[in-house]
Amino acid sequence: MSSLRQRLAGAALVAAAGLAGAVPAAAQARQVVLLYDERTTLPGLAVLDAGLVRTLGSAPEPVEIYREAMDLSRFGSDAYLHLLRDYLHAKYAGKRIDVVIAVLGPSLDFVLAHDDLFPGAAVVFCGVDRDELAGRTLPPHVTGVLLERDFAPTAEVALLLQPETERMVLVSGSAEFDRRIAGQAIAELRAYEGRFELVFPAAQRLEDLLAEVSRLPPNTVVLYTTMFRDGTGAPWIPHEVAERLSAAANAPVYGFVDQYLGRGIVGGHLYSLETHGEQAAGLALQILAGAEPAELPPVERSADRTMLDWRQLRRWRLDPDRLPPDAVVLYRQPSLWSEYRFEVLAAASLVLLQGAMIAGLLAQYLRRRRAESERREAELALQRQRVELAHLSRVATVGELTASVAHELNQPLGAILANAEAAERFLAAEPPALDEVREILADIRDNDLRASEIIHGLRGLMERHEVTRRPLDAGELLREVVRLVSSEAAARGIDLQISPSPGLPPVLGDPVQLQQVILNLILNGFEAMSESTGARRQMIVSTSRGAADTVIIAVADTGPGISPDAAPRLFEPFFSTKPSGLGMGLSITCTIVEAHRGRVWAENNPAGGATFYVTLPFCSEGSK
Amino acid sequence: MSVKPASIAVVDDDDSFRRALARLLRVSGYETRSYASAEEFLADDEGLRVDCLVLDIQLGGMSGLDLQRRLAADRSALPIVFVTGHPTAEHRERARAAGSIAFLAKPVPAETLLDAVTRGVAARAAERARAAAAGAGA
Repeated sequence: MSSLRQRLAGAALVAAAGLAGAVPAAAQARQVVLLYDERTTLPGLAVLDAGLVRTLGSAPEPVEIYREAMDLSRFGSDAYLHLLRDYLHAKYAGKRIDVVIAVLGPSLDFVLAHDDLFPGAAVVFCGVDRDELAGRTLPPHVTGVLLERDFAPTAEVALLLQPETERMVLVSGSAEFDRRIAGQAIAELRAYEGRFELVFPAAQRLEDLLAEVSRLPPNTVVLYTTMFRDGTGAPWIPHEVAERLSAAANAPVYGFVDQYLGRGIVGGHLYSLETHGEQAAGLALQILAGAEPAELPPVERSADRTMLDWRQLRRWRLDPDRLPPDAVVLYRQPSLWSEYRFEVLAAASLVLLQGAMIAGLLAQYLRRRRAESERREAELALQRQRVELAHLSRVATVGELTASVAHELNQPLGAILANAEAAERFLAAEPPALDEVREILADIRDNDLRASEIIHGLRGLMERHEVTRRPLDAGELLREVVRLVSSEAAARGIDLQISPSPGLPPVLGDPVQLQQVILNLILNGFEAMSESTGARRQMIVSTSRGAADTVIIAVADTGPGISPDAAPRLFEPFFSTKPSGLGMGLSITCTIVEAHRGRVWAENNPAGGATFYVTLPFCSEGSK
Repeated sequence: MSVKPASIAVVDDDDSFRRALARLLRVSGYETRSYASAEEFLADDEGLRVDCLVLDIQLGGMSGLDLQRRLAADRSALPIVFVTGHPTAEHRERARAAGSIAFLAKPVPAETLLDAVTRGVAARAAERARAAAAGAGA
């Protein structure tokens, strides 16, 4: 035992050593912090973040990304900034951060002010333009991608689409950032002086501004930069303003960042924040790969593309053919056919196929239902035939019995007649023997009932009847049949004995059909015994309890027994050992028994003769 | 001197018929002895001394015809009137050949039966007279 445990422990150690050796090389991820001054849920930042993450994910080695959104524009108190610093300090104390990507100016300022937060980490900034950077001195471990905002190319796009333009309304906000961006725009658009008039709406509530742009004169275009705050200082989210502005204006609205596209602006030469994020992350990857930040000075990288919203072009009836070939038109709503020819075809054929399948299934269903009803009808017809055959067989059997049954009737009839005539004589005596007459009348009544019972039993077997299922006493069935055949047995010199086992549960069945079964087996035995000569002719019919909740009805004769070649065909239709036999009796017996979920078979007795057995299941209601 | 009534034995396995027959014979002035089987009849010494035997053919056990054969073998001259519910030509012929008084089918009218019984009783009396004469002569 101990040696086994030692070996197991050894194996565990080896495994652990293997892991320990493998893990640092393979699994030590590079650590990158994305530091945002705002919430990353802001649309522009979300797009930029997507570009960053996608590019970092393409690194050859795993990069672990942490994200900090400082929300500085909404929470700017000194106390908060101190706590934020301490929080980040504690949070990243155990981490060795390789690169911090500072998004937008405030993030860069924050990380520069607290260079002890991420010791040894390179800093890559983005979302900062040349003007913003101008006032800063960068340490060697800091580099970044400079935003290059262009406004003139958007003016060009507007003029291409609307050469008749006489006026450009520049919409901007009153926040510091808004004003700075607007200033850049104005500086660039000065070049178009003389080409169109540049108009600046008064600082006012956004609602009023919207009302104003809805009443612009013809041949006017709107250029929207940013609005973090309106003229009254109320805060807004720039892309939401783009949306409302586009909806309200009676002239096309152009923009300069791609996040406005799809929100109602016609388009423009748009700056892609996603591309910008990809560029920044690319720089970070270079550093992770071993480049020194100092060797990678900040550069301006264009991330612009001429992009338009197809829906807005339609709205303002602008002709996309006037656009340069590299212009990207998004949100095209082509006809289903031209854009999705394959899909339409596929869908159509799918629909057709499905339709055909449904039709096929329906047809199949109908066919099956028809077949089902035909099958059911055939089954019913077969069942009717079986019932009819059973009936005919009974009639034939009873026909054979007619003579003996008629004679059976002679017993009570004979007694009645003798009694009646005796009574006449008793009454004629002086004095009349009334006591005798009274006894005689009682006997007459009994004999009359006995006669009608025989007739009733006979009629039951002769008549067509609806097959029923009810709890039946097998012993009583035996007695009824034996009563019918007793005179036949007597006529044949057969000693017919009945031996019902008392206290058996009832079986479920049709009384007439089960009597027919017993009758067939008894008469079959009678026939068998008529062949044997000399030997004592005896038949014992009995009931007993069988295995698995069944009642066994046994009909034992002292005939010649069943020959081996007859045995397998005994219950086949039209099989008979008798020259005159039709061979339906045992076959019908078998059919009836099986319809009662029972079994019928025959065995030769050790002492000679054969015994036919029928098992019938207990009636479940009766047995409970 | 009172005349001793003739006695009749009835052998029939059908209780009610046997009872009815006995009543009819009794009301007609006969003494009766009833047996449900041939074996029962043979076991009773008194049975063999009756004046007439009314016998069924189909009995549980020994049949009426067997009993007739047995009595003949025993040299009994007991007159037999067969009454059967299942008369067949074969049985009738066998019964007649063995010397039965009558072969009657149930239901049998009283008059027919009583007539046969009367003949049986008379035959028995004649037989007894013959036997007595023979005995006296010897």
